[in-house]
Amino acid sequence: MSAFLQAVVNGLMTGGVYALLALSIALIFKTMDAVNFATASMGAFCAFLFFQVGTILNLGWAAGLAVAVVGAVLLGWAVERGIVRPLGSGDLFRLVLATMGLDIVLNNATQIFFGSGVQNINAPLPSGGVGVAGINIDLTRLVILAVAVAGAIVLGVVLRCTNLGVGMRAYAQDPQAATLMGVPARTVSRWTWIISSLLGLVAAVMVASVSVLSVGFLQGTFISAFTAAVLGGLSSLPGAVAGGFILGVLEALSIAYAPRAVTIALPVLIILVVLLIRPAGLFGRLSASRA
Amino acid sequence: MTAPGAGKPVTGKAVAGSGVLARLPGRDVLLALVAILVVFAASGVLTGYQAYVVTVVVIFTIIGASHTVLFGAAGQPSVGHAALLGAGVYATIAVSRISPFGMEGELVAGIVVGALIGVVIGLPSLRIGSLYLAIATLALCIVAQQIFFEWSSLTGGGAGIQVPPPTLFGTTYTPLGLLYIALAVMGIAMLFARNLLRGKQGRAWNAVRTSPLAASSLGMSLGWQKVGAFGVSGAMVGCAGVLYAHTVNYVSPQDFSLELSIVTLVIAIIGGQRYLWGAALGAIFVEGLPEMLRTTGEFRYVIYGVVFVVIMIFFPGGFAGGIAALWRRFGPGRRRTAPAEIQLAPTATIVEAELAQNTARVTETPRAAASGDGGTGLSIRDVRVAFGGVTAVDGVSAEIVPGSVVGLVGPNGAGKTTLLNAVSGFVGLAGGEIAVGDTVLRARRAAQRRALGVGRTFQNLSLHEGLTVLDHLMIGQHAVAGYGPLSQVLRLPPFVRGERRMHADAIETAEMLGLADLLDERVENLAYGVQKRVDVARAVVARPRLLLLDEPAAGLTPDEGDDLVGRVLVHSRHVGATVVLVEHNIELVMRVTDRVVALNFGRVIADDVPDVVRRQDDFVEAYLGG
Repeated sequence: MSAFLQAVVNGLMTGGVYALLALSIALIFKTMDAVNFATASMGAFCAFLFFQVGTILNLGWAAGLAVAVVGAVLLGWAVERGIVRPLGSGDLFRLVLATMGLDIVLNNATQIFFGSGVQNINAPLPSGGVGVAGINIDLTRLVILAVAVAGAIVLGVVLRCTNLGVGMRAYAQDPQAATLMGVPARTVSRWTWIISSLLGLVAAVMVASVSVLSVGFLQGTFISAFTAAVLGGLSSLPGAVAGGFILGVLEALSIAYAPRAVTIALPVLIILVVLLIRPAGLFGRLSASRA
Repeated sequence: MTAPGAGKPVTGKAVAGSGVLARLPGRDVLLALVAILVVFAASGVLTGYQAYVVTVVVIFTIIGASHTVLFGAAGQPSVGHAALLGAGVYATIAVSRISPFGMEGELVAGIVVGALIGVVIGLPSLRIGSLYLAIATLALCIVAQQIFFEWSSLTGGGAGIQVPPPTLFGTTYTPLGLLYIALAVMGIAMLFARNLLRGKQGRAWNAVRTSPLAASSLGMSLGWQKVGAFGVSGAMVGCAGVLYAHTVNYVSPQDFSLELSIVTLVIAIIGGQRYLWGAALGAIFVEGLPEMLRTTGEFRYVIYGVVFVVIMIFFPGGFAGGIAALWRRFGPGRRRTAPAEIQLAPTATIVEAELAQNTARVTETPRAAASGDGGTGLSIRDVRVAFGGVTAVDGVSAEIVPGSVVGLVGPNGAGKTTLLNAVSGFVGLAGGEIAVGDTVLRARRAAQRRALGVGRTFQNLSLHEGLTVLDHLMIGQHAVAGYGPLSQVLRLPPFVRGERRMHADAIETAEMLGLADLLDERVENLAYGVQKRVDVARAVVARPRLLLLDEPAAGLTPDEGDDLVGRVLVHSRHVGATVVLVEHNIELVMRVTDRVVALNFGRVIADDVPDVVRRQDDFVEAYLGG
């Protein structure tokens, strides 16, 4: 029983990061109708900024954070201004394909700027573990979970309580009607990408804190987060969060109880099952343009 | 019927180019052959490494061309092509282990395995849309790579495995020899794809991509068309996999990553995904140039990533699309005068007179055509259609006798188009049934309708962007082409006969609708009134036995509307078709129909000959607000 609980707890802690990155994916999908294949490389690039400025230049964590946040905002802004807006609306796939190109560019730019080495990170997070009712809780991962939950809550508050957030939600439902009602489409689009980029930064920093920093280090997490987003319905933000935690727990359980092959194939199995049985996911609605 | 275009050169062929080359059928094949021979001739001076690079370019040309079929024509992007390539590679290794065959057996295995996996990954498209299918291909790519890693007895696991040297019919080949084999395989694969794309199958893929709704009304099953495209694409990548295995010599599962999948798609798009030769340009640019120049170093990927994004934004047609556009603009076959609009036929009055006469004849003996060869009847029995809580069609019954022209009228929101969509199979029924002739229709099987002889037009034009008027007329005859894919690939007599017949019918219909001078125009360049004609022409060209016209005159001037409806109705009398005309222009409807069914709030409020309906109180009330 305690092994089971331990797996669930571990899963929830991994799931937090999945949820955060899934939010980044779902936010774009909700407003743009496109999957951003550069999610991982955008987040990873910003995480490099954070750790490079923080540790290597010895400027302290605060400076690193400031640089990374500015970097993430600029990157989100630049992508929207340089790629998304010129592409315009219309063909559903052109934006998706363009993000694939962006992924290639960013991955290699990261390599050129920061080198292809693998770095271990000493993150400024508490380490060690505490035992609660026979379950070992890793403090680093607990902090990460807390950050992820906080990130999701902040996003929720922004979307519900600010003018911008209400505009974004209106735009996501019906761009034309929202624009006619005075929602500024460009502002919505710009901030969607900036917020998505910031979510990516947070998720990437969290992942790097418990693994390593190297080019493409976020790709695996991206696949999981993408699976989580599909599970939640791609266009549903609560779905993305739920999908992240569900996937995290399922993964931890499969590690504990199932053969290795199942763990490896888990994301893919989930994607295929969801697509075939309920393409709209757990929380999403199927729109006619995608059906 | 004397159409205005008759007597003039009817196709654009007369304008397109003056040299012998331009008139030669299959000159594209000839040019491709010349290109291959040039590479062949130049291969003697290549160093071993250069021969290797050229072979890699050839392989990625085949893979890029597989995207031309799947994405360029059928509109389905795939990021699972690395998995298909891996399947071809490991099929090669399996064949070399368990059988005495060399590449001759490996190619067969690669093609079969690639096609099978392609079909399997395409099968979900029977249920899900193209975006979700693209996600499924992503899943395929990841799971396949994991399988390759785990299946170490075949793949060598993470360490990889050595590929035995290439042999063909017992002879072992050097890398240069392998290049010759690759060139030959590429030639055959490209010819195969080219033959598929030119003809019924390619037109169907393009139709499905550009307008799924219209495609299904013409008898194409959207899902199966994509499954087919996946199968073809898989077969091409499978045979490329065999060449790849022998070219790189040493393969490991790391090779077949998502990145490789994306690179293959990038090749197709940079080169121009609508053109097979674009794949070659893309492969040269992405795989060939950087290797040959060897100067860009690690910037190479950044550069082609940037080029890719720039092309996506500014030149969605890619290299080949750009070259083709320049050729159209400046090449020898360039158009000197662009006909802006068609003229209204001076025959409009004649058409109208003929129509009035016909109508009079039928009105006198309303059931006369019932037994004859006038078309197929339509029975609508107590049909209900509901969207959520809203009942759009509420218990409508109507018996439409063969050979008649029935007007379906009613205010906005009365349920006219919904009823038409129910007949077309685009919406499901909440109750009742619909029969065409003696056959009760199956709900939501739009493609079944065409086989029963049902054709329809679309209120909001559902044309195929980027295709010409002639293409539309050929697409309209998809269901009556009379040949299969095998005939098409091998260019057998049924294909030649079928194409010739369809082309003749297309010209005839174009003349009938006054489109004969515009056959080579792309539909998006035409005026609205002309587009409307193309939409109608596509529906009538295959001579449907039951023609559903959804507001053909909407958005046209009264003269244009009269002219178009008049021409279509004359044609329908001529070939024997029942017509259901949804139209807001009541005067027009009253003038040309045998009977009028009026709807309001989803119910039938009047059903009689025009003169009686015209005087009926609730009809007048519904229309004029009494």
